[in-house]
Amino acid sequence: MTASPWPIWRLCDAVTLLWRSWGDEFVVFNVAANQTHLLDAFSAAVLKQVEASPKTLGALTGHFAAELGADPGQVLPRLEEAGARFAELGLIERLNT
Amino acid sequence: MKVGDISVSDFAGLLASQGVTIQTGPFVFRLTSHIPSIAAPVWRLYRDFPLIEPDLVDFHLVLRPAGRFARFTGRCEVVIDARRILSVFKSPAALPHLEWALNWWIYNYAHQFFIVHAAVVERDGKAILLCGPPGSGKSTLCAALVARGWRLLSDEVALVCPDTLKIFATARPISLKNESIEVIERFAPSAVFGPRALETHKGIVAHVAPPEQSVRHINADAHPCWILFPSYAADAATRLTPIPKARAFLRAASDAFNYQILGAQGFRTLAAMIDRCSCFELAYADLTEALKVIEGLGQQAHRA
Amino acid sequence: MRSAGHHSQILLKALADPASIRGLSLGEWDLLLRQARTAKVLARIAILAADMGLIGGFPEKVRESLEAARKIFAYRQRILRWEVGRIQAALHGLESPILLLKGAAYELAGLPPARGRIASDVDIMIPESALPSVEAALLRHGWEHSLLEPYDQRYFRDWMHELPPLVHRDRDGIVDVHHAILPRTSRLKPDAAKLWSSAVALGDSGLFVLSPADMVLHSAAHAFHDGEIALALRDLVDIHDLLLHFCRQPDFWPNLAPRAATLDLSRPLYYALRYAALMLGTPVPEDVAAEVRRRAPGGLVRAAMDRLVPGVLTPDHPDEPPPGQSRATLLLYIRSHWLKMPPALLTVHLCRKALFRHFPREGV
Repeated sequence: MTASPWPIWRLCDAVTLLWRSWGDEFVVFNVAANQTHLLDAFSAAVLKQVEASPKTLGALTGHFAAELGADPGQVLPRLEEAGARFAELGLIERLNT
Repeated sequence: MKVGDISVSDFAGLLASQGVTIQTGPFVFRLTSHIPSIAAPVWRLYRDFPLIEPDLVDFHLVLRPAGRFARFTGRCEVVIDARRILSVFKSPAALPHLEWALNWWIYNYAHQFFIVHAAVVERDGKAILLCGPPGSGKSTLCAALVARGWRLLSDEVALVCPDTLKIFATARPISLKNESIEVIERFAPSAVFGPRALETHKGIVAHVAPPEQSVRHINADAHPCWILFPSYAADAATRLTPIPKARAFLRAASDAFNYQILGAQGFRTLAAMIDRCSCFELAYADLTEALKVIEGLGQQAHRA
Repeated sequence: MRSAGHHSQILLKALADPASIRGLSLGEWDLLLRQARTAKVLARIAILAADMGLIGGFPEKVRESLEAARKIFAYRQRILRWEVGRIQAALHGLESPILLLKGAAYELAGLPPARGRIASDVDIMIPESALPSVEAALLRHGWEHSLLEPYDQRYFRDWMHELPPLVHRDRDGIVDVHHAILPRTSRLKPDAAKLWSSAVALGDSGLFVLSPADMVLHSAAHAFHDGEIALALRDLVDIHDLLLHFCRQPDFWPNLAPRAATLDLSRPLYYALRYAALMLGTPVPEDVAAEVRRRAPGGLVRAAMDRLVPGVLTPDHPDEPPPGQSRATLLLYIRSHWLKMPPALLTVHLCRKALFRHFPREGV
């Protein structure tokens, strides 16, 4: 029995991001869409991970579980919520391999 | 030469014929008017502004009766390049419509600046931006601060140079509405008012002439130091509340006319402004109290 | 023909010969900037001036106006490209091909008319059979109907050739979904199947555009037989740019008139070539012009159009529009609508529109 592989998250083509942060709040500007988003620290970190290079959801789960000292089972739903929102906004694609 | 250097009747004559060209800071406009009642108020409110004869202006503005039956209906319009802008109005509302038209042109075309919908005043090179929707009280606060000696840059548009962050002034008459008119008449008895327009879609509108000093020093230095989001509510206690900068960014972006148009440049300019500014919400009901709080900010910076 | 004062030629010359703006006096610049802004071609002049490296040498106020126009264009260009991307994402997985029309096509295909053109809506064409699934997919992805009155919905669906405009709830982007390029009720009936069979794929994006000849013919049909508003100079500029670009392809000119005949668009082509040549100096080979002239209208119609079209397209002096201008516009509007709808329907529709000018509806 093989486990189904994790989806790969990548930044959409044509997306260029500009970032600013003050305290633990971030504003990010999607130049191609001309849209500005306010992100909390976690969402911002997720987006920055994907922006740097495509990541599997598994890798992201592992990374944030370690960073936050949390259980992967707790981290995964928060990641999926953030991912869904970013996909809806056209920032990332979530590809099933 | 300034507007006030010619007689009001000569001014009226020019307005009705070849037009007059007035410089308001970065903008030069040629104004022609076929509404006689507007000549004297414009002459009075703009008397300190340069009257020039350049080869090229930013835009041409015509105020005139509207339509074939205007003699009976009394309807008037503002026209730029043979197209009406804004809606028709009755001639007593001509002066507010002139001011709204001048702002209209800025919002739509002055994209060499990052434009925030804010009143701006300055002292010692440091500018306060008062951002907010109509009714927030920014014009009233602006008029009060100016009466206390702050330099007027604008009651409506903050024109920020994206490269240097210098704020450019138009120093045009301050537009006040409804109760604010009496509030400022009481607060600053020596303020010079233009006529009241009793029936506009925003209620009663009157204009305060800019101080001569504000016009004389129109090119003086001004960089943003404070961004205030005022909100007037009767019986509110005066309270200055710091706002987290990311949230101030978003609020200011939604108050910026051309944030969308400028794209990445708009983002970077606003981010640089937020970096260097202290951002607050200001709730108030009492004008004197509000001014005390604002002037307190200015003094802190002076001491720092 | 209207006598052409100097002021009316400045803009036309700047459009026909962009380099000519090098020698303008300040007074001429004043006229040009104002007329170009009114005709919505200022951004185009600005972009071409920038391409030629001219802007730095102009007076400050000229530079400011041109740069402002460039910024507005760059903004609209970003929005347009993003909207096309979002439409593609929404329709991903449907079998239907997507053909871009007008501004979206020029921009995505990198064609000259895109330079400085401010497009508002995204126009796409899909096969008629795919309409229900495309509409459903767009609604699922956040687009909404902007015109909710049953009359307006019927106007678009039954009488025109498109879904009523769809607006995205988050972004204000408007998409117009067509299945043909002229309305069902028009006298002229270009066959959509023929357009599809000649369509050109844009790389491997899954998007298509019309073939060069069809693009010119569509633009001509839009300018001279279609369109809700009176004919605009902008439309003629598009045709001019397309012709100058495609005429470098060896088979373009020989195929243009025969293709127009196949698509029943010979009359619009006649007008397009005639007025582009007349007003913008577009070079048209004599043999093509002769062939197209065979489909010209009769003398009276031709004479009327020769009076009306330049009258509407020639820029006015910004301080003094001539009387009779609105009449010419109205005549063209009526003519355009006559070709869109059978006469009985026409009267109903125009009255209703005139009525709504006085009683504006909410949310439209």
